[in-house]
Amino acid sequence: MRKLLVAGLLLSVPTVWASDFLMEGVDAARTGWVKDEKIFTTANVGGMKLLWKIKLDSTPREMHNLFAPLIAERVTTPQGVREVAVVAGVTDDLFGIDVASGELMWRKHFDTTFVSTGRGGGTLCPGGQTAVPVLGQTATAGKYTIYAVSWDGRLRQVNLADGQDVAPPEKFMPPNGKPYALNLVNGVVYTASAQGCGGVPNAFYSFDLATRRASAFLPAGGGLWGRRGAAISPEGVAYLGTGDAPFNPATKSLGNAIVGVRLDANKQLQLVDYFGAPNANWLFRRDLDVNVTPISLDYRGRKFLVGSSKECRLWLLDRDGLGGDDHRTSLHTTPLLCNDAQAFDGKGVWGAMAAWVDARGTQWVLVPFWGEVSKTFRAPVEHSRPTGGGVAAYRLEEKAGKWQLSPAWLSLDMDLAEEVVVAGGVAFAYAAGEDATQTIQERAWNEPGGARYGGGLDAGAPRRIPGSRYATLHALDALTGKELWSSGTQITSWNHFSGLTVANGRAYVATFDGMLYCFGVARPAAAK
Amino acid sequence: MRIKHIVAVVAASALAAGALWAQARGGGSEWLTAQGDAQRTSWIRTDAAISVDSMTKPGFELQWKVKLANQPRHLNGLAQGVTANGVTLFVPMSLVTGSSNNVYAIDNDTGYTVWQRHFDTPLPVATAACPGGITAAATRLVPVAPPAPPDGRGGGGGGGRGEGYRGSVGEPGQGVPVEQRGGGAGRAAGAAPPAAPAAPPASGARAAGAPPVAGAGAPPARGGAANAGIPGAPGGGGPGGGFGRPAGVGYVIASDGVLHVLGLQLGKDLQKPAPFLPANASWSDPIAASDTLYVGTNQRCGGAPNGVWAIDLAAENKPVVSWKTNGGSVVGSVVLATNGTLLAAIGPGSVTAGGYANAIVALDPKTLQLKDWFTDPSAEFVSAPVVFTQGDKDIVAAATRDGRVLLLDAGSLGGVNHSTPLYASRSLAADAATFAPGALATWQDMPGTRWLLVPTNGAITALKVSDDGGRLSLQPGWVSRDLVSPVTPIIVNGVVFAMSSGRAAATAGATAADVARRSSPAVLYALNGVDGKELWTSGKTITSFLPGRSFWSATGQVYVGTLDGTLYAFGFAMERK
Repeated sequence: MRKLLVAGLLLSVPTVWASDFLMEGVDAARTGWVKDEKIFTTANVGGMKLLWKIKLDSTPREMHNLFAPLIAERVTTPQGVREVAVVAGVTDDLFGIDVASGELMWRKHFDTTFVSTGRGGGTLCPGGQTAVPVLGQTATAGKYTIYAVSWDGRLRQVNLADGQDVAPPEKFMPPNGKPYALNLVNGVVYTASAQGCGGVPNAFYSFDLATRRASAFLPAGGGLWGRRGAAISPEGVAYLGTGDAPFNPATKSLGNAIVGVRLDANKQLQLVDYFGAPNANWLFRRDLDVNVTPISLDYRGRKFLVGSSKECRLWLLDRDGLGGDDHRTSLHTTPLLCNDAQAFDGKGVWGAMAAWVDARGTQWVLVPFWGEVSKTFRAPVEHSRPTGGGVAAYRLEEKAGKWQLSPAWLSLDMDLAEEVVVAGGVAFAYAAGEDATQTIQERAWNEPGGARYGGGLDAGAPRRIPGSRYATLHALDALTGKELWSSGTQITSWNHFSGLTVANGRAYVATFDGMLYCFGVARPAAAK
Repeated sequence: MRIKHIVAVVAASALAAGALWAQARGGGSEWLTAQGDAQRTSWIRTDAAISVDSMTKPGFELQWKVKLANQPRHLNGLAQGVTANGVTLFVPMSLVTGSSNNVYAIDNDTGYTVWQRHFDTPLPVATAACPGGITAAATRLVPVAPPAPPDGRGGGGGGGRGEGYRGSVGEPGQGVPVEQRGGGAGRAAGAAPPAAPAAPPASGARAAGAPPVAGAGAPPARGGAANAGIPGAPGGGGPGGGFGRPAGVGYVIASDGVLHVLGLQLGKDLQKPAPFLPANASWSDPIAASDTLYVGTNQRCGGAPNGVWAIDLAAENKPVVSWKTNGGSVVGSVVLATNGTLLAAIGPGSVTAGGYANAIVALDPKTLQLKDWFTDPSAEFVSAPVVFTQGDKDIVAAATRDGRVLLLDAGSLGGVNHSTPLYASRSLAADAATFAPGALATWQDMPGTRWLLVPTNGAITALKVSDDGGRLSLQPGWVSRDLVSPVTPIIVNGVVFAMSSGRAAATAGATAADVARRSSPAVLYALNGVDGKELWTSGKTITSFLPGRSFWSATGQVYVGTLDGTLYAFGFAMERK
């Protein structure tokens, strides 16, 4: 039976339904671009409405609860062909939802081999299921497998149609870690972990479905916590940034770097390349982790990688030689986009970027950020000078033989801009609205509540949840940054390290209170 | 076997990285109060970046400069900064007061203004004697006892090399063969107990790869425990520490004489501002220790009597006590002996009611009652005292207008007749009339020689303290290159930073504009502390002159604030750009 399953997986082919949203970041390269969206346009998105919302029975852990759904448009279910969304909940749950009606089709709660001591790990280590699953399309049309990593570190394989296991859980990684969004390429599931949660080493992880071999690569460089997990290039190299540790290749310490690894013939992850910015050790000094999933993109015959970090600038890299001979030279490094204060919390790029190509063939990179835009950043089109966050767009251009990222537009102000997804020429972004501070906030003696001595670390949920606000979904013209639609105050809760899904004229945001919102436009008859 | 090996390696890596973490992330020297410490030595004992060796190599240069919008009042502009490391965990900060009732919190790494405050109180007309506005630096709490001198083993620590990047692959169906490091909130059912947790990293550090995880183990210190050590903070008591401790406070006196306890995170008043000095007084750089903050006043500005003032920081109503000189102004800053006794130099003046002039007095740190004094009509003090420990004694050193340096026993100022110093040097000034007033600095080199550095009218004179069976004397050491109106030098790990302030001598009736017009740009020099040899110079980097004492150092950098409101930071590049 297993052999048959594996054989089927190995025969997996790229999605044929272009508007599927099978993984965080849309594709393995994490472009965030729904290339073949058929319904959303800049003309109709202004009429977007709340189509439905559903409260899912998911128990939050710390500040985590639901992740953004994955979508398969045509799934063969016991009820017939359905467009199905699967939502992961942090407390080891999966929820299957009928997209058309917004009704729950099934729920799966993972059994576990992990016994919690009850000792919490704080906001940064919530425990539970922390990685957005990935959908794999099988050789059978209409049949999809959900790959997920449960709290106990085991790899789960679940039928999207009914929530039933299609294979027994597999030992994958140590339990109680903090893996990030899964990727799936050529029958291999990838993830990466961070924060040392549960004592789990910060590493790239892979699971080869054919051989059932799991592998890890530890960059010795702190956590790998890009929101969309590792980006995987067409060459099969998994790229991700690292956090807290010095960058010192001489001692094999790849902290605050972008690291590329690839499976060898023995299905073991091996180091392929790395880039440490010239100021990598400054980033370490100030805890400005390279916390952003890079984007792998090919453009005009060149193989690029675009990375960023809490420092809030972009690195344009050449995948044929990441960082050049010295591993420290980018093709282009932009000036700061935000975070003039070089603060470790509440500012910088924390979410996920998007890259898309417009009808004229221009390559764009869209960058969501937290906090004030840099005083020195200027874009030809500015809809505001954001103070809470926003989205900045860059064009990838070749000038005088050199490639660079040129600012193009700056959005209106957002309350902590998170992930960006581009579909139908619309740039969707959401503002998380969470309390993103990680230190106790100072309060004067004569303010309500009296003096509070601030500055000490307290990233904990009890302090931050009361200060959190509400999320907002924004739809922008991806060419100009002009706002076309906003959810306003329709979303009543916030989220933390969740995500954004867009497919088939619908956009989805999940919030801390367990609510999944589906906004959308009317589908033309041909698309129904 | 393989798993055990990996566990051991990971644990060792965590330990080594933890040590490295402490060095690379915000450890290092602080400048808690003007002239550095309670004894006003201006001496930073160790530094990871600055040394005679490192200063002989290229790399020490301007790191940033920032223009602050402070309006000078007469020739009073920016004051000396005081510093704090680890504000909101990773920010090293200088707290700098500006004469026009301004306070600036500057990120020492970048020059970024983290916050600023302006106290909106009326200001009098500025004069040379009474410039009005804020006339002195901020301060933070300082320990009364000085840090131990260097032991020759060097500063810093290193951080061993842990195992670097590596990979592994498991057998089919067995998962990855990487064992946990410990510290997880739980265990795998049926599995062997998790490995023993790695030893925690050094205090204030955390293991590499572990971001500031609140609640990963014990929750961060909060509330009262976290406020321990801040007088007047609610609930003080337990030892707050690590990343959970608050950013701390700085003490600033505004021109209306009100003391502000400002949080370093945002600059808010964390305690009710407390009346302290008469409005528009001229006060010297304060010092705060053992729950009390002290200043000296001078020139009777704003009608404030010359004297020493103390405010109880721990009491909610912040009572104030004072001791009036009934004579001369308090010269420069007040200073603490290592036993906590307060010392102040008194300048010339008409004495009434048993008052003091040309004296050094010792005051009880709580009541400010006079405990002891030295006075000599010929000793017109032009410098604040500086204190160092020689054997089992605290020695007070101060300079007089005629160019002499006097050494006094802090435990018995002036002996039984209150007028006999332990030692009085010959005049160091070729022309006594132009002896430049300014505080002294002192440091001890690795072999144990005690040095006194005296800014004279055109140079820094370095003197060695000789101890011949308890008989102290000062022996010539070296004299620096020519300097224009040098200010009190700073010693960092054996390197003397000498500031040629560029300030022209004030002549009778000269306006601030006159002085400014005749002044020249300041130049910073780094000298070898044992021979005065020039190691480095800022050259023409600084474009204005240094009117006062806005000159300090911390964590491998040296800061200079000039009359035009520009702050300069010199140091070694930290790969920031």
